[in-house]
Amino acid sequence: MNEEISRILKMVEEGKIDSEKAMQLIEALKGESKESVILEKVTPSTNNHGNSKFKIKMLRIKVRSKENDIVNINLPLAFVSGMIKSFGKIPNININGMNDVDMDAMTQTILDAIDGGIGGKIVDIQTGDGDTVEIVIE
Amino acid sequence: MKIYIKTGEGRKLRIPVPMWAIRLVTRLPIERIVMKHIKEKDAKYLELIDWKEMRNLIISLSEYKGLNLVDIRANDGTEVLIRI
Repeated sequence: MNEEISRILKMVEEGKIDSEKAMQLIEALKGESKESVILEKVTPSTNNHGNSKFKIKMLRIKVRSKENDIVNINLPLAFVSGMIKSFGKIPNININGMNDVDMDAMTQTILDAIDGGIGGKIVDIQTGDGDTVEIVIE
Repeated sequence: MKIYIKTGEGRKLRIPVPMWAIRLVTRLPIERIVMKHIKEKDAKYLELIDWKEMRNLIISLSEYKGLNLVDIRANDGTEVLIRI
């Protein structure tokens, strides 16, 4: 629950939601475990990336460096899965330690996950330097 | 599709790329053109691509008008924005 509250506070800090909504969310958290439903409702409709009118799922890659470099990449999830399909499979890349990875199975797994409605934060990296990398499907 | 580029020195560049131009480019025999200019060892990756599917996908991006595909702001003031 503390984690959820800190997440809400972070959203207020980033300007994604206002304090009134945050209060509602925290109330809901205290009350019962509907928080995930409410969070899902609030996040897409009030995000400030200028893409709020898109109801479809997006793959967002956000990178923030400690020098204040900002990278935002937004891709429609349908586009990502279409790309993978048009490639047939993810090509076998010659990286040490990846030789034994079954790329056919991996491609299928990713496509299944997308079709199955995967969502949320997939990658969340915070380095000691203060760089952050986030990959979110929302 | 529009590409905005702003350099740290304050130079601004706005490149509009109309959808009809993208459609036109995707109609070209890209596969043959690319294959001619690529190294042999890299060709195997391109052979995997279903170009027809790729073309439909790129055109389908026009449904997302207004979406910021790429938004990069460096701390030296350089900005790159690609908006559909």
